[in-house]
Order: sequence, then structure tokens, then C-alpha cells
Amino acid sequence: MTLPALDINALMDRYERPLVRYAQSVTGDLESARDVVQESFIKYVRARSGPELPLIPESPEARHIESWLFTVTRNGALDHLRKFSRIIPMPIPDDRHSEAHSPDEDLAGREAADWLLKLLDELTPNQREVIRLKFQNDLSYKEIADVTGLSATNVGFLLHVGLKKLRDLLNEAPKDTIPIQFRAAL
Amino acid sequence: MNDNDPILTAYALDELEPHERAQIEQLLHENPTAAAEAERTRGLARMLGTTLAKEPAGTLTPAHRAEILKAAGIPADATQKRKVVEGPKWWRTWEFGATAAACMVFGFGAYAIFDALTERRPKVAASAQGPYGEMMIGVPPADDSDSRSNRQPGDSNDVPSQVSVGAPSAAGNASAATPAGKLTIISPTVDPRVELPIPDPGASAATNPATVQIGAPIAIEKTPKGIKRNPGKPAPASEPYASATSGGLMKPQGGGNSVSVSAAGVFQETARQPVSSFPIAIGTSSYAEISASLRKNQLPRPENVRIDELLNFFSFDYHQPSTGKPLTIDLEAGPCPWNAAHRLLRIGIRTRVGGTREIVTEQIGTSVEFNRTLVASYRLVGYEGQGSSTAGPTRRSLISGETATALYEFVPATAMFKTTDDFATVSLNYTQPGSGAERSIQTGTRDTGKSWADCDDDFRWAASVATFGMLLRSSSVDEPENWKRLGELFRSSSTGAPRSDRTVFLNFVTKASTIATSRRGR
Repeated sequence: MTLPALDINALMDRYERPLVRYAQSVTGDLESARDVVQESFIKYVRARSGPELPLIPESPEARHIESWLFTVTRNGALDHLRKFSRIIPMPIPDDRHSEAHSPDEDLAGREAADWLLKLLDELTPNQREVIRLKFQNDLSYKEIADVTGLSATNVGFLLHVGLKKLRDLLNEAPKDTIPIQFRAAL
Repeated sequence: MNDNDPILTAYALDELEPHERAQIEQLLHENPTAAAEAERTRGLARMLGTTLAKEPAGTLTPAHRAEILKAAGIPADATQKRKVVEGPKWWRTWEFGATAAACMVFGFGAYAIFDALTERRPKVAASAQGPYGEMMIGVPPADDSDSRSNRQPGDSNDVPSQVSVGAPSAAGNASAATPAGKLTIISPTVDPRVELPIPDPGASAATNPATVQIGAPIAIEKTPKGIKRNPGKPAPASEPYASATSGGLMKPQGGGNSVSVSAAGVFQETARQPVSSFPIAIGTSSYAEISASLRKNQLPRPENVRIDELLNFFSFDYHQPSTGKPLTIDLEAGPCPWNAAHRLLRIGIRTRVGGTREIVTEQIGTSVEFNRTLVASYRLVGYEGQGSSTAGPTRRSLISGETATALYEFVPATAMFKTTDDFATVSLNYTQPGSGAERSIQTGTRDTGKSWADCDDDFRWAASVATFGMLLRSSSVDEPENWKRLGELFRSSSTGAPRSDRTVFLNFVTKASTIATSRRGR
């Protein structure tokens, strides 16, 4: 499938955050994540063809390009790691919240996110990655398979095991430390 | 299948093909432990979705973006221009001037510009910014139209706050805005994790049906045609478009002003009237009228465009009735292409295919009960001018092999995506021919927040056909962007095997688009 030329500004607006966040979860720091994502977009504008079209979110074209961008970003982030000889994957760094937040951002929600991310650190890198792609970025098994190079069956298995593990961890955690959002999932 | 089978997780995450899904559902029927397990997985998935969406995400810096634009061959001054139009008054200057081409030259997403240009649902500014988890339905203050510029997606420093931003009246106003004659087709991407503002039922158009003129005559002839949209020049305040938008809210026009609101029926507040009924006596004369007009290179008169009839012209692949049942009810909820804050409920009824075209059910009565805590208001799409959407039960016979389709547009309350309760329950009462025995079947459905892509082709087709009807009935029928987006909707609705009735209809849509957009400026 060729890459249709979607409006580049609209694409950046829509995907820069998910891509930077994803890249950062691999590289471990925001600056290199930005460089990686910049490179993905540049690869995209060089590879696309045809007249520039508006971005229709959720259209087949948009989904296709989204998968493509995630794939290229993943490869770029892994390349970056290899270049700097780091171990894959890095533990999620403390500076992941270094970006400015709007002051009215839901504090409880962020605390819950922090808590969950710590829990996710207990999973294997593969499990953590498919969980991010599935639940943070809403990719399907098939799309995750395209991005990671795993088979869709493998993706399904990793998610299954990862979710099980997560639930076990939730069950083991002292009840009073569990954010209220998670208690329902027990 | 045991409780620890990955297929159970795939089922809970909606990753199975329909046939696999049906098999699993059968198995779950006999295995309550596994069913509970699937439900727990769903709960965990929802929680992961909402929580991970709150993990902050960095953006590219302006320097990174500039490099990308350079690689794309977009002029270096694009960022500069972009800054200019981000000023508080930008939309006044640009609203009537910018074309899609100019958007690109000046570094805008055409999508964003379209949104801004046609912000005729001004209370709800849907932004494409951010990952799915942060899809925003922003609600600018009621009296400050300029504030929409705050949502300009090009602002890379704009950190979207999570969506519980709704002033209480926001969705209610959105529903009030819908019945206006203008139509803005938006990208139907309501995110399941978006918390929609709590609608204020008092603000719903439903509360004041007297101001809504159902089926007002010929909307398009009331449209201010011939507006020269000179690039870069502010619209004269006397232009109807300008006055409609600068107030920040399209209101249903009353008091003898006959701006058509034929594009929509009347919203009912669920708190007051949770039960609705829809006719299944469906003609298809509207289809023939539209076809005849287009052959003469004319747009059909708005009152001849009957969305209910258009919908029921098509056959849909609804579930077959199970053994022993003459009918089945097939429900799906998904995005509403003309209002990002609303959702559509598609109701499909299918009769069992018998050997002959015998009457399989007689005296069918329909009812739809909406859950008061999950749905703020609703309206039956189509049936304009045929009484309210709470008309008493309409009865008719159905013959074997027939399908009937109805669409409801509804305004979800905040609780919608946090629950596993059904938001609507559809009941059919019928008497069996011969025996005369009274029977009824009932099906409820949840709204799991499906995206446009998650919905099946039949849903997308029905929603696209309804949007086409809405557009033909609206006063923005000559907006090229609306047709462009409608084209995208239809393209994304025809992903399955080609079907002749749909292919023919796509030609209609193309023809109507050509006629409508060539009228523009005359």
C-alpha cells in the first residue's frame, strides 16, 4: 500500500504526542524521543505520494499512516538505543513528566497513571509494549503486529498474559495503596 | 475453552471476527465463570485506557516541526503566518476567505480549517489534537466566539486537558444547535474515553419545539447564495452566515424567521420521555424523487428528501433471527458524523427468510426505551414532518426476508462510557399470523464508545446515507467541504464486497455533489 499524502500539519497535531510518548518509553528521554519522531515524520513526507488530502481521523488512510508512523518510530527509537548502547528497554525514567501540564489537569488521574506505570514496570518489556500500543494508542492486534513485527497471535498471547499479571499485581498490592479507579477491576 | 484462554481476552477486547465472536458468546452462555472473567478483562481494559491516556506526552518543539515542514517543501514562512492567524480574531478574518489550498500553504491542517470554517456548531469545537485518549471536545464559553481560537490544533504548546471540561449546558446546546439549517459534517471520532459534558436538558431544543419548524420549505432557497468569499476579507456583518456564527451559537430560528431547520427532528429529553417509537412502514418514494431530480441536474427539494426512506431503500446484513424466532433486532451505537458530541443508535430489524414471501409477523409495534441516566436526549433521524419522535406505536406487517432500519441520534450523559448498563432497549410486539398469538422480543445494548472504524460497514453506510440526507435538507448544501467529507464517509463505508444498490447510490452522491457545489457563488 502506498502512503497517501495527508496534511502534514494535521498529522503532526494528531500524532506527535502519542508518538513522542511511545518513543520516550523506548529511548528513556524526551529529547531523543523528539528527534526520533521528527525523523519519522520526515521519512513520511519523503515517502508519501499524490495530492495532499485532509486528515480524516479513523479513516483507513489515517489508520494506515498511524501504523506506519508507529512502526518507523519504534525502529528509530530502537536504533537510537543501539547507537547509545543502552539496554533495551530502559526503565521508564522519572523525567517522563517533564513536559508542562495544564494546571487544571486531573491530579488524581495523573497519580493513578503514575501508580499504574510503576506496576507496568513489573511486566516484561514485550508485555508492556503491547499494553501501551493497545490501551494507550488504541491499536488493534493486527496493527500492533505490524508495528512490532510479532504475529497477531503472539500479540494476543502477550496481552493476555500481561493483563493476567497486572491483575495479579493489583490483587497483591495493599488495598489502601490502590487508587480508587483500579479497585473496580479487582 | 478454559478461563485462561487468550481467545477469551481477545473476545473481551473486541478483537474477534464476527463468527468467532458468536461461537465464544455461545460458550460463555454455558460457562458463567468464563463470562465473568471476560467482564473483568473488559473492566481492566477500560481502566487501562482511561489511566494511560492521562500519562503526559511531550510534543515536538517548533524547531522539530520546522525541519519536518522543510522536508515537506512547505515554505519557511508558513510557521510565521500560522502565528498570525492564531490571534484571537483569526477566525473572523479567515472564516470566509481561506480555501483548503490556502490552509496548506499557510501551514494549517485542512481538517482544522474545515472545522473552523464551518464552525456552525460553535459550542462544540472538536479538535483532532492529541492521541486517541486525549481527543477533545472542547467547549468554548457561550458568549465568546473568539475563544475557539484557543483550540487551534496547530498550537503545539497547547496541552489538552482531559475532557471533563464541559460547562453543564454544553451538550444541551450542541443539541440545540443541530436543528439549525446549517450542517457541519465532522469526523466521527468520539473517543470512548472522552468524558462528555453533562448536558443540561433544559437547554435542549426539545424543550422548545415551538421554535423549531419541522420541514420548513426549501431550505436551500433561503440560503444566502452568491456570497463572494474573498480571501482574507472579513465578512460583512450583515451576511447571514456571519450573524449566525458570530453569536457563538446557532439557535433554532423562531418568530417568523423561516430559516429552515428541516435538517433535524426534535430532541426529546430522556428524563421526561424515555420511551420512543419508530414506524416500520417504509416507502421508498424519496429515493425515486432524488434519482429523478438528479437526472434533471437539479438537487431534490429538501422536503422530498426523506432520510427514513433512503435508509430503508437499502438492505443490510443484520443478524439472522435465531431458530423459532421470526424477527431479530440488531443494534449498534457509533459516532454521529454531524455532531461529535452526539452518538447514533442504529436499529436493524430482520425477518427470517422463509421459502415464500409470506407475512411472518403482523401488527408490529416498536418501542425504544432510553436509559435516563445514560442518555440526556435523543431524536429519531428522519420522519420530519410526520409527528414527533414519540409518536404512538405504528403497526404494520413485515414479510419474510425484509429488513427495517431506524437511526436515533442521542446525547450521551457523562455516565455513558463508565457503565456496563444498556443505554437503550428495543422491544417489538407482534402477533403471529394465523394463531394471532401476541409475542414480543426485546434487546438492549450498551454504547462501548466504538469509533467510526470499529463500527461495521452497515452502520457506516446507514450513518453516511443519513448524513447525505441531512446535507440535502440543510442550508449548507453548497459547501464544498461538506461534500468532500461526505465523500470520505462514503468511501470508508464501502470497504466490503461491492453491492450494486450501494454503487448506484454512490453515483447519486457524486452527481449531487457536482450540482450542489457548482451552484455555489451563482
